[in-house]
Amino acid sequence: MVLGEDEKEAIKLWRRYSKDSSTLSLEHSYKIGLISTFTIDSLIPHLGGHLLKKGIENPSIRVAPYNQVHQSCLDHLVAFGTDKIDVIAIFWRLEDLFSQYISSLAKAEEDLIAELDQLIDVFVHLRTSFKGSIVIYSPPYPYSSTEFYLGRLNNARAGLDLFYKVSSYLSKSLSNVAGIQLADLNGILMESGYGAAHDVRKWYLYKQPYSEGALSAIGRDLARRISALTQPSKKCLVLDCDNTLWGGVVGEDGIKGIDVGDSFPGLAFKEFQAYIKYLSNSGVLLAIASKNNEADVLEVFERHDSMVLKTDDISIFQVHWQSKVNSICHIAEALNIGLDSLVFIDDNPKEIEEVRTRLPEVICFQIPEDESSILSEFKKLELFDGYTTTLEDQTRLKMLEDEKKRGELRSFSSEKDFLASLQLKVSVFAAAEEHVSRVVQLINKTNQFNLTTKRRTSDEVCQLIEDGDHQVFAMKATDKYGDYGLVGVAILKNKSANVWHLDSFLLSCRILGRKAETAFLSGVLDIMEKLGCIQLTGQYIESPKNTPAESFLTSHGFTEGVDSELLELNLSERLGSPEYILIEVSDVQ
Amino acid sequence: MTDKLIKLFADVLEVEPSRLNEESCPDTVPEWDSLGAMNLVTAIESEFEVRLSTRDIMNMSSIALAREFLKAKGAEL
Repeated sequence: MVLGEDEKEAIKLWRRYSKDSSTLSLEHSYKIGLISTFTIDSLIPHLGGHLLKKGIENPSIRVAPYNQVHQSCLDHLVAFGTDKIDVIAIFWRLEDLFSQYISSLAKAEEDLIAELDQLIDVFVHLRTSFKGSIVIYSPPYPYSSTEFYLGRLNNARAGLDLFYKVSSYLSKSLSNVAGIQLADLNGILMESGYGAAHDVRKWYLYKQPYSEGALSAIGRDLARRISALTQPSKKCLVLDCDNTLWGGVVGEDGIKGIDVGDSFPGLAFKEFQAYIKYLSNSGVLLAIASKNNEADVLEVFERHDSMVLKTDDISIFQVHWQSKVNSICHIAEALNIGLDSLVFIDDNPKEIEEVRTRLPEVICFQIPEDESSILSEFKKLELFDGYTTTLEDQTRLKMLEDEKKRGELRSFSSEKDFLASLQLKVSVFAAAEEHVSRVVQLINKTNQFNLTTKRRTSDEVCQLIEDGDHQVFAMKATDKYGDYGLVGVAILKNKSANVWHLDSFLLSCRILGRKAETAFLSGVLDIMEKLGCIQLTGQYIESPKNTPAESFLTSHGFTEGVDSELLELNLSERLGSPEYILIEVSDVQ
Repeated sequence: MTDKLIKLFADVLEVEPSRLNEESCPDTVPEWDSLGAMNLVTAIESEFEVRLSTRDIMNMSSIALAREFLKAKGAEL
């Protein structure tokens, strides 16, 4: 998908802003935290750009660790490194969290709903522990799964049915939770074109499923939501009548001659009125500023049966032959609102020009020449976004009590409970020839949880496996959601008879946030104990990206030793591993 | 004047152009991690109006290789 000018401009704005603001203090920025089951970093320039375009001057965006939705919601402080986040947005996909139900639909529904309940609990936990706003995107229709492929000739509806059930279950459950805004990621992808919204290459290489076009649409949606939370909405629509609310001129064509009804162009005006009516129902005030005989206009409002807007919907009529600038000032005064909360709509470019020049605070919208685009062009201005959230918030406030009860009743609300529910199983074993390619890949690709970031070639690793002075261990992991594969590597070097050194220790980011590192170390120590090791030394070597491993040694019982460079652990003083992780170790000869 | 391709890499990876040369690759430029690589794909495709296959992306493991590839595609460098 190719980006439009608008989208490109957003990215440029963000690039310039991030260059300029790198030296500014983050303290006073408006902070947005992103939690996602897939790589979400590419959203940052789009979201940031759209936020800047929306007039949010100092955004800063942080990303929680990859695919740790449960963990990040249960402990947002750890996920973002600060409690001063203003808005948290959550993106997740069914195929990332519940892949086993997505790859086979048989019996999926019941189990999937049970899983959803747990996830909803986690969202509720975040709501009760986090002060800012929360936007949760509902999961989109699963992509590239045979069961969900809509082009199947046979039973193509099965996936669709399940998807709708899951979506409606989720929205029902979350609508009971005060202060969570549910947004629709699937809708955004559909607007972008579902196929064009995906970029399979980036999914395969970087676990990032979406095209730039879709990311821009997602960024725009979230920016709108954030701007609606922070910026006052417009309060009043000031409407012209002829060729704005109906086609034609009532003073010339008469009440029967004007166009508003069920065929074009009347239908376009009728639908525009219906949208204005919807805004009025959500609290937007309506006023009329028309150059006409008042009796003609009032007759249309009272007697024309295709008019959606009725006299009662209008707070003030200003129908006379004086200037519209006067009418607008009068309306603002009578309603006791500032000129900056007015939106003026007219078809006449001269009127628009005059208002723009003399009342620059007033936002103006000129009715486009092609009537069929009136509604879509007007919606694009996104002037009344604030009303939707405020109203939702009001109804949701009433449900705060329910939520509290819910929080008490549901048990699944601590990180430990969540981790236990995963039923994580790890197996720790000495790496053999068939593991070398994956081991080398991990050694050279892993940046975050990597104690020493020592890179090695395939030959070097083979040699370490062969020679008697080293042990190369690997870890595989599975949990109830599936198989993670080989996700951990540890290399130990023999220093003296009973003392070994932890030369490398690293875990793929796929498995982080599940205490697997503790289990891995525990498994390694089990094996080393059998080999007669009594002390292990280790060292954290800082790299630009390995802060996740920084406190690993000290939090696992390593203390400062005689040699000040290295930390030491006497195996007799080793700490335990979480009882909810099952550790299997294979003996080493 | 800085070379167009070097400038693009420097902009995307947010490093000084002087730190980059033809031999620059993920091993010598820490900012060229998987996120950096992903941003490079986006930038190269939009700047040079080319479409990279998944293998093209994997093979583009140095600035020299990227240049060679783009030349073969007829991009103006």
